[in-house]
Amino acid sequence: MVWFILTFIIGLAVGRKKFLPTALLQHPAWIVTPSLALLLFFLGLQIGGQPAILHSIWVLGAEGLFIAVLSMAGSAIAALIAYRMVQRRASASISDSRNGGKPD
Amino acid sequence: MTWLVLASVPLGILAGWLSHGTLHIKAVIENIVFALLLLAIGYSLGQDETLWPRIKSEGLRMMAIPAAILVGTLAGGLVAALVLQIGTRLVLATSAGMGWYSLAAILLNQAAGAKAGTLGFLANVFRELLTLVAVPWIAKYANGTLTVAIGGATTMDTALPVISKHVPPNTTVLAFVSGVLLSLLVPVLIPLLLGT
Repeated sequence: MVWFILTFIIGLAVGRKKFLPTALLQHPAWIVTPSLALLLFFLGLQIGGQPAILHSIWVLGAEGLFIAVLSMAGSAIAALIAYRMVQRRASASISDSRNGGKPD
Repeated sequence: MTWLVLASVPLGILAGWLSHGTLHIKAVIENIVFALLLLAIGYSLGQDETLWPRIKSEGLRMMAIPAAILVGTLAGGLVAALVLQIGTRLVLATSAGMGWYSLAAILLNQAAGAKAGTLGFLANVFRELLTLVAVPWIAKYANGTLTVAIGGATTMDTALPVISKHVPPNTTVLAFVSGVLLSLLVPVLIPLLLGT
């Protein structure tokens, strides 16, 4: 599945360097939205064709909700810690500059 | 357009259910569409001329928050994996979707099958919906940075209008930059975490 990553990186590079200013790639949304919809439709087809997944959809939903809530909580806690550290560093550098770069 | 994307899954489920699983799409077609999608997503992020100078101008200070969001999301995913016992790699990859439900579902489906794709879709739809509901409340009663944290990759697009309505402009810029950086990581992180 390395090609997942490679294709994405090639897209980034082409977009950044504008190697291919083709009419097709001028409006990526025209490619992104229909292909997303198509691939999700294919995913739905696979789900609908497998009764085992359909029967466990509520369980998967509950697991999904649990994963979402814990991921959000984890990111909130980590971001708060990072924010406090950044603030502390910023206020320390302000007080340093007020002291002419000399420590208190 | 969001509704078209969201409705695709139930429509597909209905078609699959009505056809009793006899309707199959050849893997090669699926792979071609998928490659085109990844190429177009990469291209759209790469061609945005305002994006890279913005990221550069915000500097390392702005990088600390998305980095923390990434670490926190994966830590939350790890705890969820320990509780649920349904496979650490799968749960970590699901949480690494960062709320980008469409791409996460497709990546998980391609790499680990339809059940993983369903879990990825549901978990990340829930993250996006919970973000949209929680942002006004969090912005009012807690730190604005938390609105950026809970949104993950969605703060670049769907959640951005809601966030910008409730937080100061500098936090809105942080939300956008953080959403972009996390969005860039999703297509790389999910396959890496699945180890496929």
